[in-house]
Amino acid sequence: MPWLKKYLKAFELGFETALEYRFNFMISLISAAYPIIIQSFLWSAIYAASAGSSVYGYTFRQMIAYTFMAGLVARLVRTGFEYEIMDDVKNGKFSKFLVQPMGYFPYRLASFLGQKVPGQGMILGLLGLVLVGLNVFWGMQIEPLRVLAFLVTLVLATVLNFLLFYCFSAISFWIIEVGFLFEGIRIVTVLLSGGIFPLEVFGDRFARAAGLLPFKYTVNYPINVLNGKLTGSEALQGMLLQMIWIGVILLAANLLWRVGGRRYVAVGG
Amino acid sequence: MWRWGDRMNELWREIKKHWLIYRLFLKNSLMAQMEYRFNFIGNLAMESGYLLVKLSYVVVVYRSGVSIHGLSPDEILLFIGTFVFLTAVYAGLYMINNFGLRGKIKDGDLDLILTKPVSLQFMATLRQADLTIFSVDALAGAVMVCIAWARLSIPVNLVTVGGYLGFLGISSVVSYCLFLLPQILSFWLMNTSAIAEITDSFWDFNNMPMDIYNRWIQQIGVFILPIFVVTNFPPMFVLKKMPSVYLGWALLLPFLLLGLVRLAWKRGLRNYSSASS
Repeated sequence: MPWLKKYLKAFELGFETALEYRFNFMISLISAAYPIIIQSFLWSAIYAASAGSSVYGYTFRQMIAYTFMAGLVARLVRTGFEYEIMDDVKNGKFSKFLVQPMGYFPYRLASFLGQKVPGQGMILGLLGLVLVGLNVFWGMQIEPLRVLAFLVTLVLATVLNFLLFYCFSAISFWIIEVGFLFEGIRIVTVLLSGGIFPLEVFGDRFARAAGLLPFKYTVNYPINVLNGKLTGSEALQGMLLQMIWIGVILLAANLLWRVGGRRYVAVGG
Repeated sequence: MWRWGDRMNELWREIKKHWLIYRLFLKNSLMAQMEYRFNFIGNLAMESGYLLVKLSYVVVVYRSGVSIHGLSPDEILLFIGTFVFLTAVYAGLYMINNFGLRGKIKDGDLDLILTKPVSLQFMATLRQADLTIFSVDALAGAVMVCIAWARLSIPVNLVTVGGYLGFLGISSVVSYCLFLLPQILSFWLMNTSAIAEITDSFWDFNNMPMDIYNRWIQQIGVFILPIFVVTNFPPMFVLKKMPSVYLGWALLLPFLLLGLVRLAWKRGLRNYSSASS
């Protein structure tokens, strides 16, 4: 399949870029550990002061496990290509994709997945260590089938988050300097996805409303598949919803890029 | 006596001069920010997002309804409000300069300000300000502090308000020094971005009162790497939960850190080679 070759090259390039900046990635992992540490101490204090063994429907062990997993899963699905798209549109680099026999969307997807692979490997390794630690020290049972289902949901979550941010990056066609806005959007989506606290913490109404949005399916849902909070049928139902959201966001991305692309202006040679 | 008075006059003149220049820096920063309005709105959105995350901690504390290590939710709100207010000072007034210092040293841009008849450290570390971040966080922090103050029925008098403001001043000086020190390493090292990222993330340890951490972490955070001094001391003072050792340390620390920063800056500057040399 010769048409696939160019995208494999884009994947390869993304992979190499990620390896080139591996030290930066490791440093970013250290700073990602801080919120996990702060929240672990916070939950320890809250559970110590609380009369019951369960808070917000989570036992202490489930909550700590959630905190660790949320920190890692949010990092796993995180994007970053939106800044590259902003640069492409702002500085006219997008023009070359208009004349080359290469689709911008598949190129971005291939490059993104390539960039994700080394980091995902490292984070999955860390996640594995956390799971082993939870099993050895707290006796938390993780069934192999759940791990498998988690990995499937994780792939779908990564694709879903890619599509969400591909949609957001279309703002670059309307607003030239959009970097700060991307950061604001990223933070809010992390909060809405349950990447900081479980959604139940903010109340049933909030959790229900957040459940109507796609963000939950990028962090909160994969974790609940892994930690056993969801039954088998609920996990399958969630997977189906992930796929439906992927389809919906794909259509929205297509529409946004078609409308936004008409606004693109390249000046000069 | 005459010499002492003379020196004080000179010091006062210098302070007045630098204050005047600082006001011009603020004005220039505001004008530069308003020039790119979408940047301004984007920045506003970004900082509001960060604020939302900080507020999520408040929600967790209030909804749990428990006292954490003897601190009621209202008392914790006072701590978080102080943290948000001081984030305005750190992220709005210092951070942009701290992150830019590395580039100035690397690219030889310090040359341009070396020749100015104003303190080089002052120019290089306080010249720019992000007034969007400052206004969002200062307003949100002040509102949170006022709500907590009222709910806790803390008396409004010279001792409480004056003491709280005094500790905010100390915190501002401590955070200036604490987060500038790692950046000064740029005089010796070419790339300090990793160090900068780690130390910057340290700021978030103040998101919650230091009482949630164990005793060892508290002592390290107060005396060795005094990050907890920044946002814990002002509320501890008004809540009358401040041990006298901490009070003495709070009065001594700004002078110690300012001296250390000054020393490191002067040493580092000796290592600086200009762009044309």
